[in-house]
Amino acid sequence: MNEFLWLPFLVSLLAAGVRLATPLLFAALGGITNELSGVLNIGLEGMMIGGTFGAYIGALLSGSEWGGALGGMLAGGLLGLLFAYLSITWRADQVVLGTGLNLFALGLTSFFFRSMYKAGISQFVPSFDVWNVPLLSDIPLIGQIFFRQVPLVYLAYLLIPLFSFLLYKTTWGLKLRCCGEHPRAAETVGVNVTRMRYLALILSGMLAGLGGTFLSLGQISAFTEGLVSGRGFIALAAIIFGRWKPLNVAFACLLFGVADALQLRLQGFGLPIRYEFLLMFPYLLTLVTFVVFVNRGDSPAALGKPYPEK
Amino acid sequence: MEQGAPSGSSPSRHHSWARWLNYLQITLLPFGAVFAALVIGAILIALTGVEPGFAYQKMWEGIAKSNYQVGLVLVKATPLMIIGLGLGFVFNSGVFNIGAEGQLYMGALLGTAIGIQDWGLPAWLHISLSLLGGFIGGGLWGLLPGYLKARHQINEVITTILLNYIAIYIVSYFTHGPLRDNPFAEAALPQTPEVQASSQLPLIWPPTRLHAGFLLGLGLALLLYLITYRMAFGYKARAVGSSPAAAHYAGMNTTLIMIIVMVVSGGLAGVAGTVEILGVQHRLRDMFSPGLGYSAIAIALMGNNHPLGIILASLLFGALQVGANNMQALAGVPVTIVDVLQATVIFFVAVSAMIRWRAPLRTLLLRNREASS
Repeated sequence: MNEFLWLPFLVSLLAAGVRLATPLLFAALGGITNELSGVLNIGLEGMMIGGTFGAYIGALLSGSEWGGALGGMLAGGLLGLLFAYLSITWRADQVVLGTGLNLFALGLTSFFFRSMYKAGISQFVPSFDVWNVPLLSDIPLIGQIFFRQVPLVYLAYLLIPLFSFLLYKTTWGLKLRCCGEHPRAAETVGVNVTRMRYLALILSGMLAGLGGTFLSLGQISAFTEGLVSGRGFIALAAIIFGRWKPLNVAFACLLFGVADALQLRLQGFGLPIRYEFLLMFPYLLTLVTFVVFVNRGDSPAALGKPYPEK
Repeated sequence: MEQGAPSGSSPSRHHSWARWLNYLQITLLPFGAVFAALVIGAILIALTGVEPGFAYQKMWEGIAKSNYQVGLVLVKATPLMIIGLGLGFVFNSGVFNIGAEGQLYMGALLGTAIGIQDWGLPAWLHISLSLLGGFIGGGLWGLLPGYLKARHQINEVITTILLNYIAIYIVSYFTHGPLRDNPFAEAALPQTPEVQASSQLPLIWPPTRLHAGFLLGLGLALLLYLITYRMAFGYKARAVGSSPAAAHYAGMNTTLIMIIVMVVSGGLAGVAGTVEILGVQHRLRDMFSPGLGYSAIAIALMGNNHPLGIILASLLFGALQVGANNMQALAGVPVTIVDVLQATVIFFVAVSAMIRWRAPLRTLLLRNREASS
């Protein structure tokens, strides 16, 4: 092991960790928004799935990866709207709906994809290329880890302070959180709870869709089934782990991203660990951190409860 | 998040007319949901340029053109029914177990590990031991999230879904590693050896592939009906679902009840996985389940968590699955449309659980009764 170069390994591990954390972070920021508004969105996974396919179609039709990002956000946003309609207007059970939404997105994308390509193999579409940030990318180590990424990663960096500010420092954020803590009180002071929750869910869907976009256009420039495989749930765990604070949640996502990067690298090392256990590692880590660090006191008081109550 | 799945009819007594209205709604609801799902399916099929009438005709032929196909419907319905029964049981207690997929895998793993042993046992004993192994494997996989939920209020939705992925990789490890059939063969598939003849479920309607697991499913449905609606434990379990706080103040050990229903639900998913191996596949393969544990959620919801409803819903979904396979082969419609249909059923059931059209009627009926007496 003497000849093993730790520093380059660590740098490439962290750079990959940042990359793999990005789709989680997009979805998690969306999830924070809808959870603070009082809606529990188990369907985050399905919205990401919708995003992977919407982005693929968008890129295919527009011939541009940014058109793909629009497509991904549109697909996610539509699923968010569907979720909002069923959970807010019809007041259906949010956990049941979320489970249904995951199945719906999985089935629908697979149905359309297999109808388009009988062989089950997609064509390649325009995707995001690595763009080195001038100056910043030349900083030793930091530049290599954080600033030699695809543009969507930089967008994610910007969204962290933006959402911290939006959710915790603006009147709009206060109103939103009020809907999640005490919707009746919010209504009394003139906040339209229904509208706020609709907005939060559509926004959440669009962000999860962007996370899905990253999976199909930021990593592989094609669509395959099973791209998301549980990342929506890992994002949900990251939200709770980071206690609904965007910066903390970003670190939680980074932890899971690095775990994923680590298992991918270890697979190539010929360690005496079976690769099935390495593949399992990110899920196991998520489960353990979720169980150990879950803080029940912090969750929005009205989370998961339809409003008005009857 | 305290209220998980919509619990079925509450254990309170209804006025008899209102009760019939309730039954009517419960009976009509699934038909409405399926009809709506088929309409949406038709729209999707039309979008892909296939004539929906033609596609649905192929689907119907796939279901009913021969005894063999009918037998196949029952075969497909069997694991769905057994998992669905467990899920209905656990949903009644307000615990939303979406980990049936992982519990199915862990049950199938232990059940198969017993089934492949050459112990020279008589069939009844070998089958029973395998099924027991399936129950234990799935039950243990349900015990952990059940304990965390009941004892530490840790959201069971997240824990069970993560455990699904972990279980699938554990089975993947065993089918690639310790339990792999003939690991030295050049093109060995990731699967276990065949289970012993003494542990294979007998066929009960030759020449179709219907096996005794179907009868086991019906028997389990009867058993769960008796437990849920005729025994004190079932009453308590439903009381926990209706109002955990009230059940607690009434002196019930809600923690223990939640854990038990989770273990039973996981155990039944494990039995279903084992039945699928002993009755149909005879080998445990890597990634062998096409999402049975997720489909069964729709089945339990559609069957209103009631064993009879779950039997009917599983037959319907089994038929949809077999029909969709035929529709894919002959009309080129991807079989994954079944997932969309199932999801649509979930949406409709979730929404209609909130429609309170019977409540005002019931109030009216009760008021008239009081006025006349």
